[in-house]
Amino acid sequence: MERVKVTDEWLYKYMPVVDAAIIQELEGLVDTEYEFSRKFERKMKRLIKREAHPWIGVVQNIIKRVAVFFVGVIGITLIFTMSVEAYRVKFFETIKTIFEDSFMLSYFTESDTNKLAGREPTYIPDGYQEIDRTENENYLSIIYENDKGEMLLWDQMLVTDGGSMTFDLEYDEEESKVISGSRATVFLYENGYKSIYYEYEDYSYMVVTESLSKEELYRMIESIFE
Amino acid sequence: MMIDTEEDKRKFAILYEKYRYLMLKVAHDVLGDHYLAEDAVHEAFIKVALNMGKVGDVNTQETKRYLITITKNATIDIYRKRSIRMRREIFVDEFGENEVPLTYVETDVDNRVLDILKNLPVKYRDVFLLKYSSKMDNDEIADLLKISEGTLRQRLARGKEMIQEAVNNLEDRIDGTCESN
Repeated sequence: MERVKVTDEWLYKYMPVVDAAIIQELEGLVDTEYEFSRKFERKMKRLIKREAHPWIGVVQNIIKRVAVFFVGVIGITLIFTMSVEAYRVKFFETIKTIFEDSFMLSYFTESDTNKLAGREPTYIPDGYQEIDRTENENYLSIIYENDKGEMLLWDQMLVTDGGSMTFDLEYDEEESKVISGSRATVFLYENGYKSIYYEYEDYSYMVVTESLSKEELYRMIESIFE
Repeated sequence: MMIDTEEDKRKFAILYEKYRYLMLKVAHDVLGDHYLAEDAVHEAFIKVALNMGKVGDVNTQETKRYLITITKNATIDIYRKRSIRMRREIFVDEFGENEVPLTYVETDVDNRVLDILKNLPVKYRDVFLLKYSSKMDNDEIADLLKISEGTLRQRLARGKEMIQEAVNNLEDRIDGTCESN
């Protein structure tokens, strides 16, 4: 047998052969029938969605958890457990429907308000500047950014009869506080995101942040009354 | 946030579709629990997203090796966290990865020589696979394996000695057999 001298050149020639065999062996043992858990699929879906959008998309992704959609018959088949809680707020009623991994707020109103009167927070945390604004008859959305590139999204929506919003149930903590007679609820996620939801008069409000404290979120909501 | 280009976004989605089962296999072999293995795969994909610039063509052996290595790292992190209560250090060689017989493509060397490369202790073999098969630079390998470049160089030098010694022994045995015949 010819004597082998183990050099870099020799290793560059034969290590890929060994690598290919190891990988081929592994691939042969892979169970492609395995069904990943729903928790995993949800986490990955969220990760892929997050990667499929630039920064603003990330914030809007969180907001999509509360995107308005109409109650449909198809959705009913997905109900795992359902509880209904109705409570009165200023000018509309909200029905809360709990699904397996989300909950939906459905709105019922007889108010004839048909044009949004925009309300902005008078308290904006230090260092944040407005960088984008979307406004129409039903919706006001403002994005603020600080010098570290951290963003903050302010969202105000005119509640319409039959409209609804969905929320992801996968937050880690929830707490609330009454502000001007209506309850503001903060949702804290493990990745650091926080959001606050609030209803007042004809509107729902939402603030999403990756860096502010819950106290600052409450403070922003309180500031619309200042 | 982590992936900037449309191409990388598509690539990430393809990696997920194509390799999640392979990554799960890598993690499950160590952890022995599907849910923990899924956590490891999820962690691995987060790391992949943070390092998309290092991922080339999705179908290459280099990409597969990269994903396997990242998954192994995430798996070992989870394994170690769970072993803290046992107050013992976990070595990757404990995972018994070398026990499987392999089939090589035909080369001009004896398969027993290739077995020597395959049977290196895992902490050496991983370094050799990344350097000589994936052709990664030392700093990239050190970064990926979370070791210093000094440790990496030591493993490369020590690994080469081990391979040379094992090859010499094999050759001596073969020569001895020939002579006795």
